[in-house]
Amino acid sequence: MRRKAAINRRAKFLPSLFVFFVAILLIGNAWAQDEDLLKHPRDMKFPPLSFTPPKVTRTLLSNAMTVFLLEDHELPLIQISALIRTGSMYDPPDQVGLGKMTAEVLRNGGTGNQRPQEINEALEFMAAHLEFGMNRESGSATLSVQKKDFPKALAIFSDLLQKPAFDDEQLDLAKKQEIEAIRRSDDDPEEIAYREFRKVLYPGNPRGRTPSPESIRRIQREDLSAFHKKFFRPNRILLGISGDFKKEEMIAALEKSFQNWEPSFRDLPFVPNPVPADSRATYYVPKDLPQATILLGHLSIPLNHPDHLPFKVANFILGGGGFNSRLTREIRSNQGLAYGVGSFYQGRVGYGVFGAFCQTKSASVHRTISLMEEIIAGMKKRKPSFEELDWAKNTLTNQFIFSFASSASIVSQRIQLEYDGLPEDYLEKYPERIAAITLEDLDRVVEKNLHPERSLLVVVGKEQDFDQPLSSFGPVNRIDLPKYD
Amino acid sequence: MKGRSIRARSGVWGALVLFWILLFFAPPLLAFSLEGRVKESTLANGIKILFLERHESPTLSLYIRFRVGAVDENIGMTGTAHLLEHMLFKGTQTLGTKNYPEEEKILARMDSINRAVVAEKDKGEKADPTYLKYLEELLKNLQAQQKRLVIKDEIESIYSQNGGVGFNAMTSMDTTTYVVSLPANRLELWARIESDRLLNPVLREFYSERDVVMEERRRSIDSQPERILLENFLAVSFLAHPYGRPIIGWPSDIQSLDKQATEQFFRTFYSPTNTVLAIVGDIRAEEALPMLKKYFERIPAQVLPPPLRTLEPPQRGERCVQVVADANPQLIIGFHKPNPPHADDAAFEILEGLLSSGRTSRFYKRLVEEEKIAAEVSAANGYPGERYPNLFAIFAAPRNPHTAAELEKAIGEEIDRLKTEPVSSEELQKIKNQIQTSFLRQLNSNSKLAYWLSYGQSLFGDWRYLTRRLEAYDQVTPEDIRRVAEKYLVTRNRTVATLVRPAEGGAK
Repeated sequence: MRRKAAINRRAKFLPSLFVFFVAILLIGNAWAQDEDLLKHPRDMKFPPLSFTPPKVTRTLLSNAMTVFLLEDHELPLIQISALIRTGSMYDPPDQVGLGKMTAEVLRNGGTGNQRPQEINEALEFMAAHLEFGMNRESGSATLSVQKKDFPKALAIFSDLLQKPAFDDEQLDLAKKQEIEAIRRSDDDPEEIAYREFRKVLYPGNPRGRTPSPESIRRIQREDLSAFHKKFFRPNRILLGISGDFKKEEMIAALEKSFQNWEPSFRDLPFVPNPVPADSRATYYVPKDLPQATILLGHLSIPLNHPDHLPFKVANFILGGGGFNSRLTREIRSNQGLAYGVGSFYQGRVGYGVFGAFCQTKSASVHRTISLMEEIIAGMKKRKPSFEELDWAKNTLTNQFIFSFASSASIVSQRIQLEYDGLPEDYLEKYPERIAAITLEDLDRVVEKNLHPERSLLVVVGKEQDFDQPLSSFGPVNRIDLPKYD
Repeated sequence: MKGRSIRARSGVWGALVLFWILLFFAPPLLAFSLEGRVKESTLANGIKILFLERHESPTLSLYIRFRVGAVDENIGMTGTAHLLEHMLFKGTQTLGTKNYPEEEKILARMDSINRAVVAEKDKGEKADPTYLKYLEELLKNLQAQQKRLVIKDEIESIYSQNGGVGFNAMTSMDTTTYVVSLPANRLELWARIESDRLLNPVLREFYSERDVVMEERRRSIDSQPERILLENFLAVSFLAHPYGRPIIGWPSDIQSLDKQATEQFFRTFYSPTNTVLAIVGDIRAEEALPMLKKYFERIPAQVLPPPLRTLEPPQRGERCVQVVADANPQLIIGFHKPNPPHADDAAFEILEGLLSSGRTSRFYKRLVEEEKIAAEVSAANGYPGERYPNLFAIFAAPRNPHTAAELEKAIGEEIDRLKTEPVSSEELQKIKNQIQTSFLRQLNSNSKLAYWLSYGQSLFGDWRYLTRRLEAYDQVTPEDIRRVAEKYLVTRNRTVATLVRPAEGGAK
């Protein structure tokens, strides 16, 4: 429609000889340009980039805290991020939520020296961000502060970690807020779907437990102190620091801040790995909505499994790789049945999770679930092609450079590797390991690791409006949302 | 408040994002100022290019921002800017097709059959179902023929195989932005693809993409009561101005968006003078410029349509709106106010921090921590856009068993306090410190820098406006806060939206 614009220089008629000469140059130039311009982006080739990411220094403090350091003097900022060997999977069965409450009130409950509000005023006056968090299989701590304020902020950070006061008022607030969050989680269909999926994926395993108002109400201050004492120990912390500091000075500052903190060498409590279900099952959560949220999947192979990366690539082709993956292309792009559709595979320590998700209008729920299952099973019939493998490998290896886009992300990746027990050279070797994956590898991992016949299916929505009842997928277990007063 | 504020005021609609991050710059940090580091160039056709060199890693963040958004749509065609954004991922005359001349013929026939379908359906009850069925069969056949010629999502495939990450686009009220990050040596690939998207776009698969957007709407609005509340809140706040319309569009509009009208919208607004390119990362501007010119100067200059002249008339009294839904209660309170560069905007920026930034903010201390009546409360200056006069909005959720009414009353008292008690210099300084530090934190990300450079240039005609704005924040006095509170935060200028359960809101 606007192609003419591309050749506007050639359209000029220029009378004089001198100008004509110039015009020839221009024409030549324009032709040369056009050749370039018409070159199809598919055919534009670029050499691979060589880039050596900065090296992270790893050291142990005298109290056995592992520290990772990366200097970066671009801006006068310092960033701490830490992982702690704990997690909500250690919550007692009758006090689910204890780990989360511990992290929350660790942050908000003051220390032996300072009231909660004094700490907040000090941190916020220097615009520092300090947070503690609790995931299922780890705890976290982060601090971001200007270099000039680092000593003050580090003092607060280390005091909170070592000598939390767990103020009663703040515990009361945290419990009330958590109970409110539990009530409100039922307002969001995606939150419901993932919660119920976890419950049926990890039956009888601590990972499948979710807090309830009752389990939160049972939590007392002593429980927080005990949880803290057990897990928050220097030898269970991987602490990363990036930013504008000198390594030696930083190590000295950390030694001083944490010198009186005792390590604990008692074993962490044993938490068994989840056990895969042996047959398929359908779960339905009724909710009056125009669109259903669909989640289906099963347990999978762990992070350290030799097939971890090949299965990651297979999942990329199935539904993890965006628009060009099979699920997205067919269900979204070809059929217009969904905006959000795809699949995921997470290899974790000891086990993994594979799943596919989709949201579609009520009238196309049955059709869409059938399509999802067909496409997943189809990975075994219409095996991944050379083109698909090539696309996935190119993408994963060429995108790899973005893993090193900031010093904070370099440090946090390094911490995660060590936390998960992966070798230090894991990232270095990653591109070549991806490049070595073959079609045979994909056939093998697809055959062994995709199990539509024992997938758990969770659907949140209004079944009366579905194109076919869910019972067409087998017996339906109905999960009614709790009624709160 | 750990991100709690995000939920209420902005929805991440995948490709469609009302991207709401606060930008903070401040004078004491001028040592880190961008002045002298940002290089500017204006192409012959009017396209503005901003470069910022950062050599920390061999990567580039690439932003193209057009000064066109939902606010530029006419009534009856809401959702056009956003659908167009989706459509520009579908390719060009050379990207996404095996044989464009063949495909073009099929597309033309599909369009004319679709017009016939619309004309027939417009007859309402008199529409002939047999004829419609016949037309739909024809369409199906053509779709199958076209499918054989299409290379699906080729642009995404090329970018990702070249290591591209974050390939996406965002439609807001004010602007539409196309983004990708690439390994630093792939700039020419980007110039080739993006200039082609602007010169030769093909809106293929238009009708199925409309269905995708309907699913996007069901997901991000119709299945989220708080988002329905927000939509109602905006509609009631703006009687005349298009800020009152949803970015994603009203459902009936989306379903009937027309391909020719969408193409016309593209030709009207995606003009070089409306276009800003921001390139941040491992690049030498002088070396890149000739290549960028070669590609982007192919796009012809054109005249823009006259600016929007509709002004929201002054509000003449409080407006209240309820949304009935089986969900926990929510509350939104809004006040009309001027947009930047009006001086009063800076005071509202500080006010936002005073009321809701962090655990020492007034709302948190009183409503969450002391009285424990709120699950979350946050304030947002400049909602839902900044090109035109906008709102200062407060989003709040009461904690059971407390009610929205209780919370509304307490929020009102905190607002009235602003009119009578001067803000202490320490409290004011705290907010200014937070603004400075937040600015600093943005500076180590290529994509954030590209976001803000293109934002300042696109909205205010000069990326430096961002720095000027920070200076304005730093000059806000306690008296400014008191004055704007007294002037704007008044009942007759207020709109209140509440989410109520069926029992409270009457029959379902």
